[in-house]
Amino acid sequence: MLFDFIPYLSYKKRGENMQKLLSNRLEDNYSDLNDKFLDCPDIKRQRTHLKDGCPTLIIYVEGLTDINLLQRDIIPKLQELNSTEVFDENMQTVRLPVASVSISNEFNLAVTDILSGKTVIFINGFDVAISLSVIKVEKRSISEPTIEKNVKGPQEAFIESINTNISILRRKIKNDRLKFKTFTLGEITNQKAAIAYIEGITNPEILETMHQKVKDINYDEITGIASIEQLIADNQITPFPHYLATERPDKVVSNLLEGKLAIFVDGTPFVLIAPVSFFSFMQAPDDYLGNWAVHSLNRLLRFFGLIIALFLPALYIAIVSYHYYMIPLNLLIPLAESRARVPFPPIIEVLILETTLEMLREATIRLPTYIAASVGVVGGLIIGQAAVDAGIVSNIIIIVVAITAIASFLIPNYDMALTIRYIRFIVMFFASIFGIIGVIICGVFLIAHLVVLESMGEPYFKPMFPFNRSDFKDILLRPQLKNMRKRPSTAKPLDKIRGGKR
Amino acid sequence: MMNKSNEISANQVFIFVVSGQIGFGILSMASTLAEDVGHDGWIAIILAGMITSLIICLIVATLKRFNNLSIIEINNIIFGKYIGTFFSVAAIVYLTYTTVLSLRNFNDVIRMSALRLTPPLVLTSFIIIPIIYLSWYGLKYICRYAAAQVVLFILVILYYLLLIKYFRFTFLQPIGVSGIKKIVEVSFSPFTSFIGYELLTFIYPYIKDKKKLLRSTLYANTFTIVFYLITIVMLTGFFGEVMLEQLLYPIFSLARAYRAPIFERLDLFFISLWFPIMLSTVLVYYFCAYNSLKRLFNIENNKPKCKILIWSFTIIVILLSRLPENMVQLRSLFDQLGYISTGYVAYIFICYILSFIKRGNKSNEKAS
Repeated sequence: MLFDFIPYLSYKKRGENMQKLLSNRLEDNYSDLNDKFLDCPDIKRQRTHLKDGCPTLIIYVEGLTDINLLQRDIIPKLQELNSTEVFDENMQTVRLPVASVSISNEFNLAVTDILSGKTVIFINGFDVAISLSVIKVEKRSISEPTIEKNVKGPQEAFIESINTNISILRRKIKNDRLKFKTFTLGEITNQKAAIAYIEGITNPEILETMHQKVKDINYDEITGIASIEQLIADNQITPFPHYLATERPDKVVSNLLEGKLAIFVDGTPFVLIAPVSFFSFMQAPDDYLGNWAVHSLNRLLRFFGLIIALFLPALYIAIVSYHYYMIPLNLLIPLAESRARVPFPPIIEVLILETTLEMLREATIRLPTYIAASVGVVGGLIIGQAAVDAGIVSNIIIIVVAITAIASFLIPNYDMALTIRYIRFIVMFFASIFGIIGVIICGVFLIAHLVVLESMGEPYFKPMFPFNRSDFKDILLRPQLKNMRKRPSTAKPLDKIRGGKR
Repeated sequence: MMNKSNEISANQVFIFVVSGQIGFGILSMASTLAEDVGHDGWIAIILAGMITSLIICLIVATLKRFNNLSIIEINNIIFGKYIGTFFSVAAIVYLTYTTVLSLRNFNDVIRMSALRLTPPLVLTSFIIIPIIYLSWYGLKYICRYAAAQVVLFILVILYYLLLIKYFRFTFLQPIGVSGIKKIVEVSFSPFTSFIGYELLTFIYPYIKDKKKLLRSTLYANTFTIVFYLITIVMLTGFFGEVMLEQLLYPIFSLARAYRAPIFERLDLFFISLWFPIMLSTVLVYYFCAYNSLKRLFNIENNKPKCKILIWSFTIIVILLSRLPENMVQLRSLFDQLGYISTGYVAYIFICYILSFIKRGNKSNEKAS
């Protein structure tokens, strides 16, 4: 395979099995392998002979091997060779028409090779196994990003195969400084994983910490990239995401260039970026693909949306329940009129609508798109209007909840949007008990929590508190690219200035 | 061993001291000053600020003589184990007393301005939650949080600008009419409103670059003076001394003065700006009391014991904060607090003198 950068799966330490060597006799190897692959019908064990009648064993996993190639080119060539001709004098190379070959004398290495899809050949009289990379795995093709859409940027997303994902990255960064640290995860599933970094930019300390952390994960299976996040997070008692999961290669590239790390795991189309700050979750890839002034405005809009999504329903509850004198007179009369027909206190009113909306949202995620559209109509339009007519909720609350929902859709990251929603309910609860004080103390607690959080030892809320002027430029506004020569300090990059020396 | 989550830089000391200084004094100080010196309060503020700067130099000089030690350990060195512990306990009682009073005051201010009917115990228990949370995690995070206040100070100043058109210079004239003697006299009393700098004696070991300490503390003090000055001048120029005398919390009255175009009343938002500022004052005192207790019992690295300590300390603080019966009593207690903190400063001065005497003795190796 052209893009097979991943060397051997490093095998787990399993006591005495570790050093088991292959035997000279084919029959011994065969029976050992048979024991190992008992009840594994997908692992084919094919016996054949060399030209001089020397018995040979070919083992491969059906469905992971390019069977055409094997039949057409490799097996005929093998059968034309004498047993003395297969290897060269130093036992280093094999006279077979395959691009990627490796030879080893360890039993376990041969087994992991077989399981990772390579075709392994054993020849009688030699205590080595020949692993041929003739892998052909069924996978879907590279498609558009589904949850991180954008307008002008590249329209490709990662897929489930780690080799393809890494090849996408290599295609985007044509530089030998792009490096990968590889290892396996999942005690049972043995998934390939890799940490990508750029030599000379990434801080080796951070790389080493992360590598150690991820390697030490002791778990059966890594279902998705979020499993890793949960297993290695520093502070477990928080609703906030510690690391940024993305399906966009361009986002990974730009983060790598800031000295951050990207963690790839086989079987998930998401890549984890670490370390990140709170504000990484508020940046969209489109921000950097256009006029700075326009996108600065977009950024401000997004932060405004964040504040609305967090506090608007809570403020409504606080003001209507406790501080009604804050409402301007012209607005107070229609509000009082519509509230007069509603039997519930404001918090119940808001909860009814918010819960309905949350149910609607949760329902539409899993429904097929054509049903989801009609659910939206039923839920949003019909129930909303009917609830007002029936006197269950007031008019204004529908506006408040709708604005909040729209504002929360502005948050570019899915995980962060969920977190914000979660916090919104807490703030609403305290607003109903303590009014504006509840909102303020919740806000204070939120900031207190954000400054306590750390992502790999770096403050989570960094360029804001603690303040960092050169990073702060790129938070609320988006300066011109020319003015962003300095890399952000979140990942403590070694090379602090963008661009080469001229 | 040093706890890393407590380490702060000298720049963070700036915001720490400002948090300690700007808090409760500012709410009522303008009216107190108006009673004493009429419209010349701002001169008294400048004088008091200068005195405070001198005291800060003294405190830093004292602390420099004892390398990397807080007042708790200094007590032990100067007075020996038993008397030293007694003084340490006294210092902690002073901190706790300030914490309790400011917490109670915070509670009363909220009850006055926003929630009249909430049971005070419930309210106090609620507002103390962020304080416990941040104190548990350490000084570094407190300073990071406190830095958020800078935004609030800017917003407060912006709010003053909204009202600048009602500002009358004639209210401030003629300058110095109440007499130099009176102003100097008063300037020695409101420097109690600047207390907060004395917390340096408790956090000194946690500061990383001690060389910049004096500078950033003096900057902090200057910032406080300027902020107080702007506030006092604004309030005097807005209300006039006669009106100012009668207001309990002139800053809140100022917040109510603004009529926004459509929204009409925005006072609750402007009053709300002050709540986090007041909260952080309680926070820094609470932290210093809690942390000094930790140092006193020598359990800085023992998490389970710290947990017991922080919860029992919190319950004590909440219960004690209910002791003052009413606002009048609270006011008089606050006045006493001024004398106590002056006493504390005097005590540090004594420590400074004693440090020279002790230098020849066994503590020689500890002194810098």
